[in-house]
Amino acid sequence: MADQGAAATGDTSVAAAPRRRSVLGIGAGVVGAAGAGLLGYGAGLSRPRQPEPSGAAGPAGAPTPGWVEAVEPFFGSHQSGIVTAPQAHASFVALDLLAGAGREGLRRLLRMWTDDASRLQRGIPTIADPQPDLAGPPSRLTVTVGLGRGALVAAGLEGQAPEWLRDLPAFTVDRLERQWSSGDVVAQVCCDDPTVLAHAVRALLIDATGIAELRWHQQGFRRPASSPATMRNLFGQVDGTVQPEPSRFDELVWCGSEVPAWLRGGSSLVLRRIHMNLETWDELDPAAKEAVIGRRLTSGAPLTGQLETDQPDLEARTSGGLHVIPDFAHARQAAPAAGAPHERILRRPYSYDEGLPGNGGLGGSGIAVPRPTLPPAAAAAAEARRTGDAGLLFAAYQRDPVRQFVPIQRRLDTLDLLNVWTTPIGSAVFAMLPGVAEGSYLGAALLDG
Amino acid sequence: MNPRLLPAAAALLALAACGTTDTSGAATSTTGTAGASAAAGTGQCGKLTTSDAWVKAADTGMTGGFASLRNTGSTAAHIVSATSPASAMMELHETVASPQGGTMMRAKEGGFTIEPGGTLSLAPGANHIMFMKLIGPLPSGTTTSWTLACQDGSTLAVTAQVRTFTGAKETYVPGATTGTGSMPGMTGGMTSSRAMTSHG
Repeated sequence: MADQGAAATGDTSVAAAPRRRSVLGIGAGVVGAAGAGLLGYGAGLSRPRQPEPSGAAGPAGAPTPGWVEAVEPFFGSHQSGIVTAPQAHASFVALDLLAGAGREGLRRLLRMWTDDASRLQRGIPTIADPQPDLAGPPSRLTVTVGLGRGALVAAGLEGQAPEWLRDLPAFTVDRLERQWSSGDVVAQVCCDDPTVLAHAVRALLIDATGIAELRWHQQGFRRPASSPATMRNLFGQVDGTVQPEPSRFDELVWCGSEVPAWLRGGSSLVLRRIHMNLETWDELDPAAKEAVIGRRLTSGAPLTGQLETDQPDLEARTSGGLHVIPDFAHARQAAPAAGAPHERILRRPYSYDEGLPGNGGLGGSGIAVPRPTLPPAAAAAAEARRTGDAGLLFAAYQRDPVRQFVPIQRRLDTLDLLNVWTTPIGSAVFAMLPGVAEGSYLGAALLDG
Repeated sequence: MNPRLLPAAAALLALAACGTTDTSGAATSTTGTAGASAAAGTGQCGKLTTSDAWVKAADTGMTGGFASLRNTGSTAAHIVSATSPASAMMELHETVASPQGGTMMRAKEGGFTIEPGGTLSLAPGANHIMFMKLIGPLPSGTTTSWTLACQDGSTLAVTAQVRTFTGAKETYVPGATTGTGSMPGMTGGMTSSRAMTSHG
């Protein structure tokens, strides 16, 4: 598996460039490509199936012996789990602080989470671990903690909130449900071993006893990091190729002097739960699917290119005068606007699949699946209950979501044919805390300031 | 669950902890890093190192303190008593098999002895420090402390994290040893039956 060895060395330089080319390096320099979108597309099978240059030991796709021992660093200037190579499994857990918990309750929670995460990421049980044997091997576990505006309000620190820390503006495609939206505190917990992951989530929830209550819990999966190919989402699209270059992380991912001091070195997380209608997508023929995206399904290459790394030519036209990459194509709408190179986001998406209802999904019961309309059917939620809820947990990290994420989403909201088959049903924005030094705790600069 | 298994399950749960009720949201501000310490002192207690010290969160009554203690000295360390600003009374406890089955906890006669190079694990369901009479709530996520005293008069201060914990509910049996004796004024959520643990 690519570069697990490097991770296992205990490199504490979280700020360093990500150690896996498969995560962030592919397409580096492809400014103007569909680098930031609701669903991203890009590299796939055209990439050579060979060990990564950064040090994979085993054959492509075969985990290197000892991979479960791999450790992601916990302490550092940035939290791990953001520019970290995405693990195969993720849980996003949002809590609401209980009335009266206040600043001290938040401090207590973050102290415990810091101590627990620092242990669990090394495969060590928490200090009062009821199931210590589940704590390892760590399998690249990361716990990444952030705050919603509600946490700062509860702590009497709303004046310390960055301006962007609030719900995104409403989009016409949104059919948001409270059960997947907002929240005071979030933990993104990722791991290559789902059992170790489940144990870590449980530890965090035990810590919340008497301080906060669960608001939502969203679980996702993606191609293992050991895979040489970029993740595909459940539409079969290669998802997550073009990412900000590591050399631009300070510009595009990490918060700087524009935010209050406690958040510098942190980031923002936008988590959108996007229901995908697998049934109606199945009904499209391959050419239509590729036109919707503007990229080839199999290779991930733009319709104007041959390789996934080729930059889309948005001006290329057919002999009939139409754009080769159609005006409605996701890749076109997701690309940064002219003169706006900052409209880039770090995508860390996970697929989700809540399974099918027992009364017959997939048409087996004779239930008619609604035909797509534009804009998406308002009955998406009800439909999901009949056909199962599957889709994408679109996790995007950026320095400023209003400046970087919102313009992209506005374009997608306006003219992205993919909206026919996708429906955002959850949305949340969090200020992801900067990293922590040993002996301190996450959020200390805010709560002890 | 198979209904026939319920009595057994109830009996297992009845192995109630030397613990108390769950924590509340009551908040007190404490700071400091809990966990490890280096042996720096003199005497028996001065040669002990502590790691992973914690106390079960509780509002009132009793609770337990836990840690791993290692004797780095060349002579045995005999821990004979404990004190804490958080509790009006402290005891050194052991957990033993009950004649009726299950386990029970009681004051450890003579305290704890740690041989040179040895480690004493204070853990739920095993030996532990008992906070007999909390002075105030111990909310999870805060820190508290206790001080161990050794036979030679040396002491060891221990800082501990307060954590939510629901396991190891052994039954406490006051007066089961010649130790501290009865427990006047005992309150709180701990199982305080003077009867031995039974399997109900």
